[in-house]
Amino acid sequence: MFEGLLIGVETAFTPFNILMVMLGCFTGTFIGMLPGLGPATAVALMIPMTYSLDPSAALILMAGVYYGAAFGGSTSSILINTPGCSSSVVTTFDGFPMAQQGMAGKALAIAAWASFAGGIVGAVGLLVASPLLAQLALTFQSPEYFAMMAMGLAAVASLSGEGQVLRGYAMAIVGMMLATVGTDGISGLPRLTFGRLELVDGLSFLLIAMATYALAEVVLVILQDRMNDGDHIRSTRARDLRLSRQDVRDIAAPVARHSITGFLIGVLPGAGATVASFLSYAMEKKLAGPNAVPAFGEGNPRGVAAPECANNAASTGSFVPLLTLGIPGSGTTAIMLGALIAHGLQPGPRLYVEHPEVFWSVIVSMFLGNLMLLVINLPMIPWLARLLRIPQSILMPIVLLFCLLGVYLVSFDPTDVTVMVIVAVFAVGLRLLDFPLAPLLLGFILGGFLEENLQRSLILYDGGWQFLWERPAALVMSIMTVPFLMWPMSARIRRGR
Amino acid sequence: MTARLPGLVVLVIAGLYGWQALQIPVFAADAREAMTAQTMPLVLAAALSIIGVILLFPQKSGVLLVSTLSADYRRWWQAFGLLTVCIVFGLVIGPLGVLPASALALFASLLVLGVRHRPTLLWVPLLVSAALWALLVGLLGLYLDPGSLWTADV
Repeated sequence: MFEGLLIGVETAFTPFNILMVMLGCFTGTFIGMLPGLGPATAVALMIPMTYSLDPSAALILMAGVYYGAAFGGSTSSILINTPGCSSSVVTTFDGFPMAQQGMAGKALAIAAWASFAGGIVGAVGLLVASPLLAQLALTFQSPEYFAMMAMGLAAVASLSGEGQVLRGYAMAIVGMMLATVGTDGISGLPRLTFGRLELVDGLSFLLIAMATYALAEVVLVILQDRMNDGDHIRSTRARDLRLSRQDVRDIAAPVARHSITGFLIGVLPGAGATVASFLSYAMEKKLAGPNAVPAFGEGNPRGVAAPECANNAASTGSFVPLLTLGIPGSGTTAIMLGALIAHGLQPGPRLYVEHPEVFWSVIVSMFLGNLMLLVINLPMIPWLARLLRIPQSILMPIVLLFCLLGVYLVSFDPTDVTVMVIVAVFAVGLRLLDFPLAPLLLGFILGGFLEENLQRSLILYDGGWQFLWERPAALVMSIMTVPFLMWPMSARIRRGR
Repeated sequence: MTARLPGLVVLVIAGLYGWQALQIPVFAADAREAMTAQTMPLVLAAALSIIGVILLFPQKSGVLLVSTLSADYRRWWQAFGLLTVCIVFGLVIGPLGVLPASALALFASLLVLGVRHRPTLLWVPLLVSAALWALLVGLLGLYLDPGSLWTADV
């Protein structure tokens, strides 16, 4: 581990990679602040830029954008009661009341320090857990991979949200259907290509990610009238951004508690930062009791600290399954996985052995990135908040141009732009029918690998399915998949009663 | 009926995909294998059909986000207009090249979203396109085709 850490430090601390961390944190904070555009959109918009970078720099940049966007999301939650992303929805409960009471700076500082603590605890957890899990995963063969991917897909779909579980499964299957387009691994013949040469290599991941997470989001912001004209944004003054000793004492225990729970929740595929922030808020509210002063929901600093450290720790924790098993825990990490595959890397245990510089540098960069968010971005928040005053009728066309250029510059094929528009219209329709899109993306990325590993397993066992119970690790993962699969049925039965 | 829409959409997707999956050619030699090129697509179509049937009988907690759509018809025209700008961008980028096509797309998008302030309409497309071009060519070292209209032999 020590040797790996040295490789990570050596790679992450090159001037260019430090610049990538800074750029990622800054861009992520800015995009994360924009209501409607969350970390997934921010990371998707960055992918075209990463194609000319080496894989380490690309992953460092995307990771910086991810936790930068989580940080930025809390800023708009506190200042304008509009969460930049779903994981900072809870921050509005107490953050905005604090801002209304003239304590916007204090709320922002609490959010920043809590995010920093959560990020650092998450990075330490990642540093310790990842090599152990990666070494265990190195013993995996096709049956284990098949069982693991099935478990990951089931977990993400079943944790899609209240009333969305079956829809999550439907989307995971649609994603897997899209992954079957292209050359078939068994016969080597084109499959579901409608005779089009462009489809022989399959659908482009970038196109699907841009269409579902960026272009569809822009269209939805307009259709749901979520565009603001920037007039009602209040800014905060830099001198407000200080915490008293009493403030630090108040938030220390919640931050310590929820950094750890946040990290553990983040490690679970599918749970992610949003679940972590809601759970930690509920836990903290329960611990504080009904006599908390000020009451939760009326500007209690613990109500800002708990979700903020939990969501940042969970964002970092979600890198554990991504880096060690190649299973993304959320839509955002699914986009990163796709981007790494496009770079010719397969995240998972082999990454730990074959590309230690990528594996370790991203972990090391997280310490640096979280420090930068605190030292550089926090004092800049009052100025960054002014950017929120730019009307979205100007910002949205710029985001749209990023999508268009991003897709075009990868293939230089104008047809891709039209295909992206068609996929985006389809995605908007699905979103309006309340279908979650993260399982679709995950199904698209994992579908091909799942089929490939199933084929290999069946060949190894002469067409029999005994690999699911004869191999201990595959058996454990198969058993763990069952509750995820049964969850929607039991929920329906409970509701039926 | 709106409550059954998600189930119907899923069933239509499953039906169309399943029908296409049945057209996938399978070699006679592969037909006896445990898994052929058709197996996974057919399993996926069947699984999606089952979910579609379950979704046809929605429960009370099913939420349709259609109700969150703006009642203002201008928003629909704006969304439609932006998607049209995207398609036109795809058509003109080849002949015009990246820089002019980007500036035009930005200009048109701003107009579609109701921006009428002339300096904004002039400077935002010019500055953003130039900055993007500098980033892509200068920093990332990408080669950007100047456009067939400007390079074609007369």
